Amino acid sequence: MISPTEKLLRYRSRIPALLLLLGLPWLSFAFLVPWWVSVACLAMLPVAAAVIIVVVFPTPPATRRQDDTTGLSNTQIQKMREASSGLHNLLGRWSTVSRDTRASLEEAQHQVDHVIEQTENAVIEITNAFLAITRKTRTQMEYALGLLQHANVAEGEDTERGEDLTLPQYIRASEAMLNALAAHLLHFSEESLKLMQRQQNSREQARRIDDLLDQMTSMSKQLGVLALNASVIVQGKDQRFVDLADKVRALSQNANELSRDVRQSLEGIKEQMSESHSAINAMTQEARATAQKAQSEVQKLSGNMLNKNRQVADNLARINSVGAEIQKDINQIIISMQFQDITQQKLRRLKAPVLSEVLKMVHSLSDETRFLNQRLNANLVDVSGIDAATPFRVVKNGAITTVATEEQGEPAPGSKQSGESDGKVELF
Amino acid sequence: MALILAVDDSTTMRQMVSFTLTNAGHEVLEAQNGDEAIKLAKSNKFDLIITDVNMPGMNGIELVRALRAMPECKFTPVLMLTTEGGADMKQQGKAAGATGWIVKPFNPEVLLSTLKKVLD
Repeated sequence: MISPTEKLLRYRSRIPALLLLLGLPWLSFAFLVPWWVSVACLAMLPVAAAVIIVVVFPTPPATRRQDDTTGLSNTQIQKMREASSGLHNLLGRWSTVSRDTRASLEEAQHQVDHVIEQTENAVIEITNAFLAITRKTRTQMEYALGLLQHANVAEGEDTERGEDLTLPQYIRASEAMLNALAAHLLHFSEESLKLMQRQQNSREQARRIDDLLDQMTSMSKQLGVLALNASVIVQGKDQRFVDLADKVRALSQNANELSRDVRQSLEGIKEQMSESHSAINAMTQEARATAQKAQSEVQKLSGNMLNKNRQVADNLARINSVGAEIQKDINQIIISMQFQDITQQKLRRLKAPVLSEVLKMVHSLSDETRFLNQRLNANLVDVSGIDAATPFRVVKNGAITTVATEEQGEPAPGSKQSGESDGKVELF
Repeated sequence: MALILAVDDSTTMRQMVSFTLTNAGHEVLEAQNGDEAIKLAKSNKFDLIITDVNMPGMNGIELVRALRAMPECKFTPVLMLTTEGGADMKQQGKAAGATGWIVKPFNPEVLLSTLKKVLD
């Protein structure tokens, strides 16, 4: 595109003819209008001619430059200039596009940074919440498992200190105490039975004493009768023998009275023994019944308690199993939570080498386009030698530098390298 | 129980590593970059160091080299915990003096079993 001024200059030879052409209709009617209208129209003629040249007339062919030494014909030069004009337009559009692309890429970089930041913040919040929940769950599990550990202490691991006794140990200790009590009651009952036996023996002995007393009484009576008979027989013959018979009879009466006294005491003893025997018998039976009942109740209670304890142990074992499953889930969550770091690193790989590389390329293209535009304004540029492998030329601070293409430079760090190991853990 | 240093620029990763190791009964200190890790390594006697590779500033490989240059960490096991799984990177880590290489995401059980092997 050429400027309107340049176009007017190129058509300057045709301006008088155009003025004449536009002025002829005015001359025909100049005498019919007021003089000031004629003057105004006359003054407008150059402006109208300029507008017509700029708007209506085609772009004139350029004149050959003074320093042109190419030896090309005017037609060839004209075609090249048309091509140059198209290239100029193309580069102008490319410049605009590269500017827009650069802005878009910068925006993309900004968005990637924003996404990384937002994701990290979100994951940190989730992680904190997860860790808090996990700690609480772990505390619960520790309590439950502590109880389970107490409930599942094996036999023979009883501790001596009472406060360290487990539930089964408490049950066993209570059962032992109650069994000991029942055993004591039974022992007491057995001892009472022995006592009763001894009393029976004593009563037997008393009965024998009673028989002996009967015999003694009988003997005493017979002795009294004999003494009386002897006294009657020897009456008047031998006074000494009579006195002796009287003394024997008196002794017999005394013995008889003593036997009666002994019998009375013996009867009292027998009565007391009978009463104590009855009391001991009743007490023994009661103690035996109580002991048997207590033993039965203790066994039943202990069985129930052990059964309950087994149920508690079963439930706690289930809790333990659930705890193990929770731990597995926690491990899986830990694995999943690491996605943020992995994603972040991948985004950084995308952003840093790829986006930056693209941005650098766009910068380069933009700068080179600007450079080409500048060159094109002055001279024709030979672009036939530029291909995909040619390094980009970048104008920075007035100096021209080159930028290596990807094929010439290092591979992008994010690209997967050949021979990458699938092993997750490797110790050197 | 071991004293372990976890080095990672990602807060989440540090938390995950710390949580896993703390639950296993270990004591964990955290550093978010190589410089901080070196400072902690100078003032503590760690039984093990777990570090990321890709970190801003000093990367994991450079950190291992720096640790190996310190007398107090010359023989401290260093595990690399990273998304990098390339043989070249592993070779660089091995050459720098790393003890092992774990690719993210790590499984807590695998991390603990590896830890046990290294500490034993």
